[in-house]
Amino acid sequence: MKRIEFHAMGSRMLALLDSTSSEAEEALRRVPAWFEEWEQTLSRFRPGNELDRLNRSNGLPLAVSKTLWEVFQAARTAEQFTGGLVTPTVLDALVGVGYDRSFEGIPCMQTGHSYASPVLSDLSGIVVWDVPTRSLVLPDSVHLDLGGIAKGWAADQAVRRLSLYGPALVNAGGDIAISGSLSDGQAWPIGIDDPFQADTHFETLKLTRSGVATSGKDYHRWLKDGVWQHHIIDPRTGLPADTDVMAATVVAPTVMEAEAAAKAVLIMGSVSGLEWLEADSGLAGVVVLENGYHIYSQNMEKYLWKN
Amino acid sequence: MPNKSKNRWLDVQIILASLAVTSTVALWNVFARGSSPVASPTDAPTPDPTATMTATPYPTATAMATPTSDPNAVIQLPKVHILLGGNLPAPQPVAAQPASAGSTTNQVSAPKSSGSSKSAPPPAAKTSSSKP
Repeated sequence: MKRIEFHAMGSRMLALLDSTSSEAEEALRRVPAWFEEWEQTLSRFRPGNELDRLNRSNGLPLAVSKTLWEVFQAARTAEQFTGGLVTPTVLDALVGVGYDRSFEGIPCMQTGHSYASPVLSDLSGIVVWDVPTRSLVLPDSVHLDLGGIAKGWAADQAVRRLSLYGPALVNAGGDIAISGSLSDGQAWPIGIDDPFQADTHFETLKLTRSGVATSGKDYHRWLKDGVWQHHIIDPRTGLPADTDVMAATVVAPTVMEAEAAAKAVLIMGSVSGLEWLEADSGLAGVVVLENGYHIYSQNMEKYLWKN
Repeated sequence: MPNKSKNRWLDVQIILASLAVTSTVALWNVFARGSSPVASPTDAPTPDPTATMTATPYPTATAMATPTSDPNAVIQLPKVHILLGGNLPAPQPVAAQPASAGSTTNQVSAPKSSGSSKSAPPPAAKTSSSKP
Protein backbone atom coordinates (compact mmCIF):
# COMPACT_ATOMS: atom_id res chain seq x y z
CA MET A 1 0.00 0.00 0.00
CA LYS A 2 1.41 3.38 -1.01
CA ARG A 3 0.21 6.64 0.46
CA ILE A 4 0.68 10.39 0.37
CA GLU A 5 -0.58 13.00 2.84
CA PHE A 6 -0.62 16.73 2.30
CA HIS A 7 -2.59 19.88 3.10
CA ALA A 8 -4.88 21.53 0.55
CA MET A 9 -8.22 23.34 0.37
CA GLY A 10 -7.90 24.17 4.06
CA SER A 11 -7.98 20.48 5.00
CA ARG A 12 -5.87 17.36 5.43
CA MET A 13 -5.67 15.22 2.33
CA LEU A 14 -4.77 11.54 1.97
CA ALA A 15 -4.39 9.40 -1.14
CA LEU A 16 -3.85 5.63 -1.03
CA LEU A 17 -3.01 3.20 -3.80
CA ASP A 18 -3.10 -0.55 -3.21
CA SER A 19 -0.12 -1.24 -5.43
CA THR A 20 3.61 -1.69 -5.10
CA SER A 21 4.57 -0.53 -8.60
CA SER A 22 6.84 2.44 -9.19
CA GLU A 23 4.21 3.91 -11.54
CA ALA A 24 1.75 3.99 -8.66
CA GLU A 25 4.26 5.83 -6.52
CA GLU A 26 4.86 8.31 -9.29
CA ALA A 27 1.10 8.88 -9.73
CA LEU A 28 0.69 9.53 -6.01
CA ARG A 29 3.41 12.16 -6.11
CA ARG A 30 1.37 14.11 -8.67
CA VAL A 31 -1.76 14.32 -6.48
CA PRO A 32 -0.81 17.46 -4.48
CA ALA A 33 -0.24 19.35 -7.76
CA TRP A 34 -3.70 18.35 -9.00
CA PHE A 35 -5.26 19.71 -5.82
CA GLU A 36 -3.25 22.91 -5.99
CA GLU A 37 -4.48 23.49 -9.55
CA TRP A 38 -8.10 22.86 -8.56
CA GLU A 39 -7.82 25.02 -5.46
CA GLN A 40 -6.39 27.86 -7.50
CA THR A 41 -9.50 27.75 -9.70
CA LEU A 42 -12.20 27.00 -7.12
CA SER A 43 -11.19 28.62 -3.83
CA ARG A 44 -12.97 31.78 -2.73
CA PHE A 45 -9.88 32.72 -0.74
CA ARG A 46 -7.63 33.24 -3.76
CA PRO A 47 -8.21 36.83 -4.97
CA GLY A 48 -8.15 37.15 -8.72
CA ASN A 49 -8.72 33.49 -9.45
CA GLU A 50 -11.42 32.23 -11.79
CA LEU A 51 -14.16 31.89 -9.14
CA ASP A 52 -13.33 35.39 -7.89
CA ARG A 53 -13.67 36.73 -11.44
CA LEU A 54 -17.04 34.98 -11.80
CA ASN A 55 -18.25 36.43 -8.49
CA ARG A 56 -17.25 39.90 -9.72
CA SER A 57 -18.60 39.52 -13.25
CA ASN A 58 -21.63 41.78 -12.50
CA GLY A 59 -24.06 39.88 -14.68
CA LEU A 60 -21.78 39.67 -17.70
CA PRO A 61 -21.15 36.32 -19.40
CA LEU A 62 -17.84 34.70 -18.50
CA ALA A 63 -16.30 31.76 -20.35
CA VAL A 64 -14.98 29.39 -17.69
CA SER A 65 -12.51 26.52 -17.53
CA LYS A 66 -13.56 22.89 -17.72
CA THR A 67 -12.85 22.55 -13.97
CA LEU A 68 -15.13 25.42 -12.92
CA TRP A 69 -17.77 24.31 -15.40
CA GLU A 70 -17.82 20.75 -14.04
CA VAL A 71 -17.92 21.86 -10.42
CA PHE A 72 -20.72 24.33 -11.18
CA GLN A 73 -22.73 21.52 -12.80
CA ALA A 74 -21.98 19.25 -9.83
CA ALA A 75 -23.22 22.01 -7.50
CA ARG A 76 -26.40 22.32 -9.55
CA THR A 77 -26.96 18.56 -9.31
CA ALA A 78 -26.36 18.65 -5.54
CA GLU A 79 -28.86 21.49 -5.16
CA GLN A 80 -31.55 19.58 -7.03
CA PHE A 81 -30.72 16.36 -5.16
CA THR A 82 -31.18 18.05 -1.76
CA GLY A 83 -34.21 20.15 -2.62
CA GLY A 84 -32.21 23.37 -2.47
CA LEU A 85 -30.68 22.79 0.98
CA VAL A 86 -27.15 22.46 -0.38
CA THR A 87 -26.40 25.35 -2.68
CA PRO A 88 -23.28 27.37 -3.53
CA THR A 89 -25.26 30.62 -3.35
CA VAL A 90 -24.63 30.90 0.41
CA LEU A 91 -21.41 32.90 0.08
CA ASP A 92 -22.92 36.21 1.23
CA ALA A 93 -24.57 34.48 4.18
CA LEU A 94 -21.25 32.85 5.17
CA VAL A 95 -19.52 36.22 5.05
CA GLY A 96 -22.41 37.71 7.03
CA VAL A 97 -21.87 35.33 9.95
CA GLY A 98 -18.12 35.92 9.97
CA TYR A 99 -16.66 33.24 7.67
CA ASP A 100 -14.98 35.84 5.51
CA ARG A 101 -11.49 34.35 5.30
CA SER A 102 -9.79 30.96 5.35
CA PHE A 103 -10.85 29.23 8.55
CA GLU A 104 -7.39 29.35 10.12
CA GLY A 105 -7.59 33.14 9.95
CA ILE A 106 -10.97 33.59 11.62
CA PRO A 107 -10.66 35.05 15.12
CA CYS A 108 -12.41 32.91 17.71
CA MET A 109 -14.44 35.88 18.88
CA GLN A 110 -15.88 38.53 16.61
CA THR A 111 -18.09 41.55 16.93
CA GLY A 112 -20.13 43.30 14.31
CA HIS A 113 -23.55 43.26 12.83
CA SER A 114 -24.80 39.94 11.47
CA TYR A 115 -27.22 40.19 8.62
CA ALA A 116 -29.36 37.29 7.55
CA SER A 117 -31.94 36.70 4.91
CA PRO A 118 -33.09 33.60 3.07
CA VAL A 119 -30.69 32.57 0.33
CA LEU A 120 -31.81 32.13 -3.25
CA SER A 121 -31.23 28.45 -3.91
CA ASP A 122 -32.29 27.88 -7.47
CA LEU A 123 -29.17 27.84 -9.59
CA SER A 124 -31.13 26.82 -12.66
CA GLY A 125 -33.31 29.90 -12.27
CA ILE A 126 -30.70 32.50 -11.37
CA VAL A 127 -27.62 31.48 -13.34
CA VAL A 128 -27.64 31.40 -17.12
CA TRP A 129 -25.20 29.06 -18.81
CA ASP A 130 -24.32 28.30 -22.36
CA VAL A 131 -22.96 24.83 -23.12
CA PRO A 132 -21.25 25.45 -26.50
CA THR A 133 -19.21 28.39 -25.18
CA ARG A 134 -19.00 26.98 -21.64
CA SER A 135 -19.92 30.35 -20.19
CA LEU A 136 -21.87 31.43 -17.12
CA VAL A 137 -23.89 34.55 -16.36
CA LEU A 138 -24.11 35.23 -12.63
CA PRO A 139 -26.38 38.07 -11.42
CA ASP A 140 -24.46 40.73 -9.50
CA SER A 141 -26.54 40.04 -6.36
CA VAL A 142 -25.48 36.37 -6.22
CA HIS A 143 -22.06 35.05 -5.23
CA LEU A 144 -20.89 31.46 -5.15
CA ASP A 145 -18.97 29.41 -2.59
CA LEU A 146 -17.93 26.08 -4.08
CA GLY A 147 -15.94 24.95 -1.04
CA GLY A 148 -17.98 21.92 -0.02
CA ILE A 149 -18.74 20.49 -3.41
CA ALA A 150 -15.23 21.24 -4.67
CA LYS A 151 -13.62 18.91 -2.15
CA GLY A 152 -15.96 16.05 -3.10
CA TRP A 153 -15.44 16.71 -6.79
CA ALA A 154 -11.65 16.81 -6.34
CA ALA A 155 -11.64 13.52 -4.42
CA ASP A 156 -13.73 11.95 -7.17
CA GLN A 157 -11.43 13.24 -9.92
CA ALA A 158 -8.28 12.16 -8.13
CA VAL A 159 -9.53 8.65 -7.42
CA ARG A 160 -10.53 8.21 -11.07
CA ARG A 161 -7.01 9.12 -12.18
CA LEU A 162 -5.33 6.96 -9.53
CA SER A 163 -7.52 3.93 -10.23
CA LEU A 164 -5.56 3.42 -13.46
CA TYR A 165 -2.71 2.16 -11.25
CA GLY A 166 -4.68 0.02 -8.77
CA PRO A 167 -7.41 0.19 -6.14
CA ALA A 168 -7.43 3.78 -4.90
CA LEU A 169 -8.83 5.88 -2.08
CA VAL A 170 -8.74 9.66 -1.76
CA ASN A 171 -9.75 11.42 1.43
CA ALA A 172 -10.28 15.15 0.91
CA GLY A 173 -10.83 16.50 4.40
CA GLY A 174 -13.30 13.76 5.31
CA ASP A 175 -14.91 13.38 1.87
CA ILE A 176 -13.72 9.93 0.78
CA ALA A 177 -13.86 8.47 -2.73
CA ILE A 178 -13.11 4.77 -3.22
CA SER A 179 -12.49 3.24 -6.64
CA GLY A 180 -13.31 -0.37 -5.72
CA SER A 181 -12.26 -3.33 -3.60
CA LEU A 182 -8.69 -3.82 -2.42
CA SER A 183 -6.41 -6.03 -4.53
CA ASP A 184 -7.31 -9.08 -2.43
CA GLY A 185 -11.03 -8.44 -2.95
CA GLN A 186 -11.60 -7.16 0.57
CA ALA A 187 -13.44 -3.95 1.44
CA TRP A 188 -11.59 -0.88 2.68
CA PRO A 189 -11.98 -0.30 6.44
CA ILE A 190 -13.16 3.28 6.94
CA GLY A 191 -13.48 4.83 10.39
CA ILE A 192 -16.04 7.44 11.38
CA ASP A 193 -14.49 10.00 13.69
CA ASP A 194 -16.18 10.77 16.97
CA PRO A 195 -17.05 14.49 16.94
CA PHE A 196 -16.74 14.55 20.73
CA GLN A 197 -13.30 12.92 20.97
CA ALA A 198 -10.53 14.07 18.71
CA ASP A 199 -8.72 11.40 16.69
CA THR A 200 -10.90 8.52 17.82
CA HIS A 201 -13.45 6.69 15.73
CA PHE A 202 -16.68 5.18 16.98
CA GLU A 203 -17.52 3.00 13.99
CA THR A 204 -15.74 1.12 11.23
CA LEU A 205 -17.34 0.69 7.82
CA LYS A 206 -16.47 -1.75 5.06
CA LEU A 207 -16.68 0.01 1.73
CA THR A 208 -15.89 -0.88 -1.84
CA ARG A 209 -16.75 1.33 -4.84
CA SER A 210 -18.57 4.24 -3.17
CA GLY A 211 -18.25 7.60 -1.50
CA VAL A 212 -18.60 8.54 2.14
CA ALA A 213 -18.61 11.99 3.70
CA THR A 214 -19.23 13.66 7.03
CA SER A 215 -20.71 17.05 7.65
CA GLY A 216 -20.45 18.49 11.13
CA LYS A 217 -20.47 21.60 13.20
CA ASP A 218 -17.71 20.38 15.49
CA TYR A 219 -14.60 21.89 13.86
CA HIS A 220 -15.56 25.04 11.98
CA ARG A 221 -17.09 27.21 14.69
CA TRP A 222 -16.48 30.62 16.16
CA LEU A 223 -18.15 33.17 18.44
CA LYS A 224 -19.77 36.26 16.99
CA ASP A 225 -21.45 38.73 19.32
CA GLY A 226 -21.51 36.00 21.96
CA VAL A 227 -23.33 33.52 19.73
CA TRP A 228 -21.70 30.36 18.42
CA GLN A 229 -21.59 30.25 14.64
CA HIS A 230 -20.73 27.38 12.32
CA HIS A 231 -20.20 27.08 8.59
CA ILE A 232 -23.24 25.03 7.53
CA ILE A 233 -25.73 27.63 6.34
CA ASP A 234 -29.43 26.82 6.12
CA PRO A 235 -30.50 28.63 2.91
CA ARG A 236 -34.04 28.96 4.27
CA THR A 237 -32.85 31.37 6.96
CA GLY A 238 -29.45 32.50 5.77
CA LEU A 239 -28.04 31.56 9.16
CA PRO A 240 -26.02 28.62 10.50
CA ALA A 241 -28.36 25.63 10.61
CA ASP A 242 -30.26 25.28 13.87
CA THR A 243 -30.02 21.51 14.23
CA ASP A 244 -29.81 18.77 16.87
CA VAL A 245 -27.20 16.94 14.77
CA MET A 246 -23.55 17.41 15.69
CA ALA A 247 -22.29 15.37 12.72
CA ALA A 248 -23.86 13.34 9.93
CA THR A 249 -22.05 10.68 7.90
CA VAL A 250 -23.53 9.36 4.66
CA VAL A 251 -22.49 6.53 2.32
CA ALA A 252 -23.57 7.03 -1.30
CA PRO A 253 -22.63 5.78 -4.77
CA THR A 254 -20.39 8.83 -5.26
CA VAL A 255 -18.54 11.08 -2.86
CA MET A 256 -20.30 14.16 -4.26
CA GLU A 257 -23.69 12.67 -3.43
CA ALA A 258 -22.41 11.63 -0.01
CA GLU A 259 -21.11 15.14 0.71
CA ALA A 260 -24.35 16.83 -0.34
CA ALA A 261 -26.51 14.31 1.52
CA ALA A 262 -24.50 14.59 4.75
CA LYS A 263 -24.85 18.37 4.69
CA ALA A 264 -28.58 18.15 3.93
CA VAL A 265 -29.17 15.74 6.82
CA LEU A 266 -27.31 18.04 9.20
CA ILE A 267 -29.42 21.01 8.07
CA MET A 268 -32.70 19.09 8.29
CA GLY A 269 -32.04 17.73 11.79
CA SER A 270 -32.16 14.11 12.93
CA VAL A 271 -35.84 13.32 12.43
CA SER A 272 -36.41 14.82 8.98
CA GLY A 273 -32.88 13.99 7.90
CA LEU A 274 -33.20 10.29 8.64
CA GLU A 275 -36.60 10.15 6.97
CA TRP A 276 -35.05 11.72 3.89
CA LEU A 277 -32.17 9.22 3.95
CA GLU A 278 -34.53 6.26 4.30
CA ALA A 279 -36.49 7.41 1.26
CA ASP A 280 -33.45 6.87 -1.00
CA SER A 281 -32.31 3.25 -1.17
CA GLY A 282 -28.91 4.35 -2.49
CA LEU A 283 -28.08 6.22 0.70
CA ALA A 284 -27.14 5.07 4.18
CA GLY A 285 -26.00 7.09 7.15
CA VAL A 286 -25.51 7.68 10.82
CA VAL A 287 -26.09 10.89 12.75
CA VAL A 288 -24.42 11.84 16.00
CA LEU A 289 -26.71 14.00 18.07
CA GLU A 290 -25.64 16.87 20.26
CA ASN A 291 -26.36 14.68 23.30
CA GLY A 292 -23.90 12.07 22.05
CA TYR A 293 -26.37 9.47 20.80
CA HIS A 294 -25.96 7.80 17.43
CA ILE A 295 -28.88 7.01 15.12
CA TYR A 296 -28.33 4.70 12.15
CA SER A 297 -30.42 4.50 9.00
CA GLN A 298 -31.58 0.98 8.22
CA ASN A 299 -29.35 0.68 5.14
CA MET A 300 -26.28 1.35 7.25
CA GLU A 301 -26.33 -2.18 8.65
CA LYS A 302 -24.70 -3.66 5.54
CA TYR A 303 -21.72 -1.33 5.79
CA LEU A 304 -20.90 -1.91 9.48
CA TRP A 305 -17.77 -3.91 10.15
CA LYS A 306 -18.97 -6.60 12.52
CA ASN A 307 -16.98 -9.69 11.57
CA MET B 1 -66.38 -44.02 71.68
CA PRO B 2 -62.59 -43.89 71.62
CA ASN B 3 -62.80 -43.08 67.93
CA LYS B 4 -65.18 -40.17 68.58
CA SER B 5 -62.85 -38.58 71.18
CA LYS B 6 -59.91 -39.15 68.89
CA ASN B 7 -61.75 -37.28 66.06
CA ARG B 8 -62.55 -34.38 68.40
CA TRP B 9 -58.89 -34.13 69.39
CA LEU B 10 -57.99 -34.03 65.70
CA ASP B 11 -60.51 -31.20 65.18
CA VAL B 12 -58.96 -29.27 68.06
CA GLN B 13 -55.50 -29.75 66.58
CA ILE B 14 -56.68 -28.46 63.21
CA ILE B 15 -58.31 -25.41 64.79
CA LEU B 16 -55.18 -24.65 66.82
CA ALA B 17 -52.98 -24.99 63.76
CA SER B 18 -55.24 -22.68 61.77
CA LEU B 19 -55.22 -20.10 64.55
CA ALA B 20 -51.43 -20.29 64.75
CA VAL B 21 -50.99 -19.76 61.02
CA THR B 22 -53.52 -16.91 60.94
CA SER B 23 -52.00 -15.12 63.90
CA THR B 24 -48.50 -15.54 62.48
CA VAL B 25 -49.53 -13.95 59.20
CA ALA B 26 -51.44 -11.17 60.97
CA LEU B 27 -48.54 -10.31 63.28
CA TRP B 28 -46.10 -10.40 60.34
CA ASN B 29 -48.20 -7.86 58.50
CA VAL B 30 -48.61 -5.67 61.56
CA PHE B 31 -44.86 -5.45 62.14
CA ALA B 32 -44.07 -5.14 58.50
CA ARG B 33 -46.44 -2.17 58.04
CA GLY B 34 -45.17 -0.57 61.23
CA SER B 35 -41.69 -0.17 59.78
CA SER B 36 -42.64 0.43 56.14
CA PRO B 37 -41.05 3.51 54.64
CA VAL B 38 -42.96 6.74 54.49
CA ALA B 39 -42.42 8.70 51.35
CA SER B 40 -39.97 11.42 52.06
CA PRO B 41 -37.74 13.56 49.94
CA THR B 42 -34.69 11.67 51.14
CA ASP B 43 -36.06 8.31 50.06
CA ALA B 44 -36.98 9.36 46.58
CA PRO B 45 -34.20 8.77 44.05
CA THR B 46 -32.67 12.16 43.64
CA PRO B 47 -31.92 13.17 40.11
CA ASP B 48 -28.25 13.63 39.40
CA PRO B 49 -27.63 17.26 38.55
CA THR B 50 -25.23 16.17 35.79
CA ALA B 51 -28.14 14.45 34.05
CA THR B 52 -29.39 17.80 32.86
CA MET B 53 -28.55 18.10 29.18
CA THR B 54 -27.87 21.59 28.09
CA ALA B 55 -27.82 22.48 24.47
CA THR B 56 -24.35 23.91 24.59
CA PRO B 57 -22.95 24.45 21.17
CA TYR B 58 -19.64 23.00 22.25
CA PRO B 59 -19.30 19.30 22.87
CA THR B 60 -18.49 18.87 26.52
CA ALA B 61 -17.31 16.01 28.60
CA THR B 62 -20.44 16.42 30.72
CA ALA B 63 -22.65 15.46 27.84
CA MET B 64 -20.68 12.28 27.35
CA ALA B 65 -20.69 11.31 31.00
CA THR B 66 -24.33 11.79 31.85
CA PRO B 67 -25.93 8.84 33.62
CA THR B 68 -28.75 8.82 31.07
CA SER B 69 -26.33 8.15 28.29
CA ASP B 70 -24.66 5.20 29.99
CA PRO B 71 -26.24 1.86 29.05
CA ASN B 72 -24.86 0.38 32.27
CA ALA B 73 -26.45 3.01 34.46
CA VAL B 74 -28.28 1.50 37.43
CA ILE B 75 -31.59 2.86 38.64
CA GLN B 76 -32.00 2.55 42.43
CA LEU B 77 -35.35 1.00 43.27
CA PRO B 78 -37.30 2.43 46.26
CA LYS B 79 -36.93 0.44 49.47
CA VAL B 80 -39.80 -2.01 49.99
CA HIS B 81 -40.51 -4.90 52.33
CA ILE B 82 -41.39 -8.29 51.00
CA LEU B 83 -44.41 -9.51 52.93
CA LEU B 84 -44.43 -13.20 52.25
CA GLY B 85 -40.97 -14.26 51.25
CA GLY B 86 -39.02 -14.01 48.01
CA ASN B 87 -35.89 -12.12 47.17
CA LEU B 88 -35.48 -8.41 46.76
CA PRO B 89 -35.39 -7.73 43.01
CA ALA B 90 -31.96 -6.79 41.84
CA PRO B 91 -31.50 -3.31 40.32
CA GLN B 92 -31.91 -3.48 36.55
CA PRO B 93 -29.63 -1.64 34.15
CA VAL B 94 -31.55 0.68 31.90
CA ALA B 95 -30.60 2.85 28.96
CA ALA B 96 -32.48 6.05 28.47
CA GLN B 97 -33.65 6.96 25.00
CA PRO B 98 -32.90 10.36 23.57
CA ALA B 99 -35.78 12.73 23.18
CA SER B 100 -35.43 13.02 19.46
CA ALA B 101 -34.69 9.50 18.45
CA GLY B 102 -36.01 9.79 14.93
CA SER B 103 -37.95 6.98 13.41
CA THR B 104 -38.65 4.11 15.73
CA THR B 105 -37.21 1.74 13.16
CA ASN B 106 -33.79 3.36 13.29
CA GLN B 107 -31.14 1.83 15.47
CA VAL B 108 -30.26 4.15 18.31
CA SER B 109 -27.18 3.62 20.37
CA ALA B 110 -25.47 5.37 23.20
CA PRO B 111 -22.05 6.90 22.64
CA LYS B 112 -19.49 4.24 21.84
CA SER B 113 -15.82 4.13 22.56
CA SER B 114 -13.18 4.11 19.89
CA GLY B 115 -13.11 1.05 17.69
CA SER B 116 -16.40 -0.37 18.88
CA SER B 117 -16.13 -3.16 16.34
CA LYS B 118 -13.63 -5.22 18.25
CA SER B 119 -12.58 -7.35 15.31
CA ALA B 120 -12.39 -4.49 12.81
CA PRO B 121 -8.94 -3.73 11.44
CA PRO B 122 -7.43 -0.28 11.85
CA PRO B 123 -9.17 2.03 9.37
CA ALA B 124 -7.33 2.88 6.18
CA ALA B 125 -8.91 6.35 6.32
CA LYS B 126 -11.32 8.19 8.55
CA THR B 127 -14.21 10.45 7.65
CA SER B 128 -14.96 13.52 9.72
CA SER B 129 -16.11 17.04 9.16
CA SER B 130 -13.28 18.95 7.49
CA LYS B 131 -10.34 19.34 9.78
CA PRO B 132 -8.41 22.52 9.21
